[in-house]
Amino acid sequence: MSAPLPFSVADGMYLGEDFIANDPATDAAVGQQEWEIETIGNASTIAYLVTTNTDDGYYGVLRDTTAGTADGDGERYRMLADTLVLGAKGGSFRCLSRIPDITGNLVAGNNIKFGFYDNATPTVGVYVYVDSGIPILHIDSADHGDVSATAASVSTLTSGTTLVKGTWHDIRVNFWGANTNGGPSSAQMYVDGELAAELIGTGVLDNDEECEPAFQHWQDTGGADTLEWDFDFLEFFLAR
Amino acid sequence: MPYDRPQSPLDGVHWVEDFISNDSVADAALGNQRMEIVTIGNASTITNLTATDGGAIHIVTAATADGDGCVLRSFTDGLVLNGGAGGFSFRAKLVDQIASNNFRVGLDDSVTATSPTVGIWVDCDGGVISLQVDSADSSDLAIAASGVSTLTSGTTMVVATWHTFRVEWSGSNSVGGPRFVELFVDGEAAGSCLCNIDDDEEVEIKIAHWQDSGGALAVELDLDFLEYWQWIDRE
Repeated sequence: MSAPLPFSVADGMYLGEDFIANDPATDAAVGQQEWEIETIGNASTIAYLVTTNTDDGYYGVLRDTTAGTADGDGERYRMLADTLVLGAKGGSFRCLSRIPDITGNLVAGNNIKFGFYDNATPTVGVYVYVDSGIPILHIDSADHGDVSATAASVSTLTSGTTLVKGTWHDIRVNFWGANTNGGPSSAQMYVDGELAAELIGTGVLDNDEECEPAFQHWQDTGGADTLEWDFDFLEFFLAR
Repeated sequence: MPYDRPQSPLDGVHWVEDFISNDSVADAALGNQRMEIVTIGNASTITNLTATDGGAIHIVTAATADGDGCVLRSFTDGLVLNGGAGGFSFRAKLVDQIASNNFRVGLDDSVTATSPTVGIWVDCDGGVISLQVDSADSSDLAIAASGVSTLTSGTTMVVATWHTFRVEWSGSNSVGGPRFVELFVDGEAAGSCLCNIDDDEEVEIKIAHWQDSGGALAVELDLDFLEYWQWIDRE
């Protein structure tokens, strides 16, 4: 079940990205939302899938392929830096993505992050870190401390914890509640519709700590490697 | 409170500018909708605000001459106002002062500080709010905001305070435009009037901000969002 989303901008901020766009996948021109690109190490190859790479039912897909130059290479895609703070009115974000089944592509060392967070190595935000296929829910505060919870017991994941290569996975986070610093106190992460992890009443993010909608892909195999990740859509919501 | 808006183009138009965007504040690249920027006199400084609860912009007039400001707009003359239900809403804050700090937000035909001849818009004249409903073919109608508990004397914006404005129209007049227009400020009814606009009179979505202090002056306006909708039976 999906969380309700606003009909009017007076009800909340809504940002949808389905990667149905014209040709450019360049800086400040990625997707409908014209995401800024921040290279991590060496630049990825970024392309929209066409022809035989497309899948029925998956409309508009962005493929990020790491540079194959050095360990740690990747890209972060973001809206205006520090444009948001997260208060107690709640919100959500969601991403449908896959580790494409391509010869040489790996689950190990293949990583993404997405959500509301402040940079490629976040100190602030509510976000999901998929570390070598394992989704981890984070609420991080530079002022007050970090909390996290790792996915477990999801029937569509390998051993209940790890994304399956070649399979689309839908990861959704809802956050809500008021902690003593004014930010959200709780969050739940759903993977393919199943509750995968939760942080209930433990978030200490302050409502003056800045972040932005963002997602990223990079590899940390220990050396140069070209690893792929496909993004079908992302959406972001903050209640007003 | 949840609001109904057209979700499918088959049901009508729903245009949303929430100022959640990438870094750009350039002409034809401002906000989610890539709005055009038109300078009035000398160029304002426009920035995307950080640490917002959903995206906002900050506009500061040039402090070069009386009348300086800017217009943010969609495609010129791209729209007409139909009968049936529609409206627009926005949230604005006069950041630094009330006097001489003016804006015009809604749908109208003027891309300067000169008052439009066609359109439905909210007019802020030194903080004093009115609803304007003008027709070039027929006559102009207007109503000043009154009795709003969050406004000074029920009429005037409070400095450094966010105010939410919502304009809704309904019905069809004898020339195809809307018949009745209402203004709500911070959720309270602030005024209403009839409408004589013809459905062939052209407008565009518009934010105009300028100062008329009589000399050079930097005045500041923040805008959180602007949306426009019109229900249309297209089948």
